[in-house]
Amino acid sequence: MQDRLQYLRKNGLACMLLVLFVLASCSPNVFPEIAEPTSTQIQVNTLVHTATPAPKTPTATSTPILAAMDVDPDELAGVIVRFAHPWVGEKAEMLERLAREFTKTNPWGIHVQAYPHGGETALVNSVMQLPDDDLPTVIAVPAYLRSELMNGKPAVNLHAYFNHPDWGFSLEEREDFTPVFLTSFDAEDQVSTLPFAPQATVLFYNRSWGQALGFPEAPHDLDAFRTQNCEATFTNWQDAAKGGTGGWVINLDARVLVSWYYAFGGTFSKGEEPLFNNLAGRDAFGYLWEIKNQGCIWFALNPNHQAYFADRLALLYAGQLDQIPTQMGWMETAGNEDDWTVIGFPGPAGEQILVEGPELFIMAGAPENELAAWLFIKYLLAPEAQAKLVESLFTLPVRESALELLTKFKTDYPQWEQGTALVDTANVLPVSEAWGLAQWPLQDAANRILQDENGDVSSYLAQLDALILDLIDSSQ
Amino acid sequence: MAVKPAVTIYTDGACQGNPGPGGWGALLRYGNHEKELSGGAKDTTNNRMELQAALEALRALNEPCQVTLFTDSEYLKKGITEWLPNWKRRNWRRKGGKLANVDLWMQLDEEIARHEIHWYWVRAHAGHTHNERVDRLARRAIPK
Repeated sequence: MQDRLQYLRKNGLACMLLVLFVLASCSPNVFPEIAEPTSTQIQVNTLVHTATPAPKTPTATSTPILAAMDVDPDELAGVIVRFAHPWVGEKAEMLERLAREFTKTNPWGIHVQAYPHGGETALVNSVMQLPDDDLPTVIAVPAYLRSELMNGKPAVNLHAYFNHPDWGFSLEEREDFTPVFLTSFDAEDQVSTLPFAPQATVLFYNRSWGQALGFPEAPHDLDAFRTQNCEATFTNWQDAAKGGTGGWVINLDARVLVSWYYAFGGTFSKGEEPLFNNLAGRDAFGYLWEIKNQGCIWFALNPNHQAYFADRLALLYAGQLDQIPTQMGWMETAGNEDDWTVIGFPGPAGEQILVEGPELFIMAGAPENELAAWLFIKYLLAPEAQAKLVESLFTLPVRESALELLTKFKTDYPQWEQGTALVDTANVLPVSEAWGLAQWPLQDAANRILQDENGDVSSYLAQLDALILDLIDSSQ
Repeated sequence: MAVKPAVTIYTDGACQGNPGPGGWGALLRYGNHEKELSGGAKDTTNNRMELQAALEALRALNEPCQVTLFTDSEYLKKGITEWLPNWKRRNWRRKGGKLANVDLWMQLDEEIARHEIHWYWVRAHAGHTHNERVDRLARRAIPK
């Protein structure tokens, strides 16, 4: 093993020196209109229902009235729910179909209009420019963006609806929710959000290639992860055209970095800043630096890692479950019949995955508008709607009974089913508005750590934490 | 009204240790002309070098320009485009004391006022030719 590592290091260094020599010999043109820089003086600074898809008018009383909100169900007729979500294309078409179906089948005469947006940022920017009397009723954004989007406008406490004896979920229905998807909801006392289409960040693993390399099992711990990546890299070095490839393709997406952090036992406490200069952070980034320095994981030029995986240039890559169909396509294009699967991020805390995605909340308004909005949300969280979302978005269902409706889907996409088996190991993004700020410097810091020759992880993490605190402070 | 010259700038910073010796590099392109700039410091941080690179590149422009600036630093890009207004509003201070790298942020704030700048973040190690080039410039500029 040591010999192989030395071999990897030696060849990688030789290639790098050659490239540097060639590029260093280029002489730049002169740009006379631009002044020479003055001398540099650097200072030292150091996210329940029964088996029926559409909710029925409660039968406990023929016309139940929510005393607190003083709403008679008759008042719901003709109420329009405006639903703003961050998706376009096929995903938006799926939500449009669900909105139409609810409008057609709900017994109260509620109409839902879906408004697609090209991404979360576009949605936030769009909604923020609307006058208060023209806001959407239901909005789907990640929980950490809600505060920015709300900008002081009141939102509805969904707990009152969720647990309401007439309009909420029954005990049986509440127990049908997969607990991790209610982490954010349970953590909030008043203003609250509910996930409806959570996506999972996982590792894609080529089982056939792993077996060909001599590994009968996927890497479920850190030693196995290192050994398999190094072996794949060493194998690819035998082919000059594949030199430097083979192991995990480094991915600096903040969701991937946080997944590693969780795998090393990292936690984010409610109400506290998402900081990383702690034992879990140092161990996680230290481990990644180490295997990068050994030459066993690599930075790829192409941000699309699926082609590398299909061409046996990467034994593993990090991605989301909605990449499963496109990965199948890449395998077909490459004529690759390898068996592949998805696994969690290995670490001393055991395999971990991350789940995140837009969550639903209701803007405060007239009582009938709020109740109509809630009934639409309840419909989206029913197993039938959840199953439809899964079939379109490759998300995880928030209700366990939805899995029973996905028999064919599980057969068609076995890797997705393997992903659902990991849900017991799932973590969520920090329940903190500060996550919106912290994710960017986190990516910067990880990039620097993995490039650093000395592996001085803690100093970069200290700088990262200081910056996160600066950003939180200046955003208040 | 005269049209401002359109200049494209690529910047990067590098550091050995954090803090430690660091370097910065910038590539300025105007029509068919281009110019490389670089510099270093013995004891600095990677973030300071990212800021220094942008600062020196903008300072090198003799007249107000339409600038398109590419960086692989989220710190620089988001700092300028999103965070800086809040920092200014709070007099460049934070509750716990001094804002990190405030000296460079203040100089950058002054410098960007002269120009019309569009800031773009590029992924490092993604094969962006010019980003790779300024990365090499920055690494070479690290004091030995």
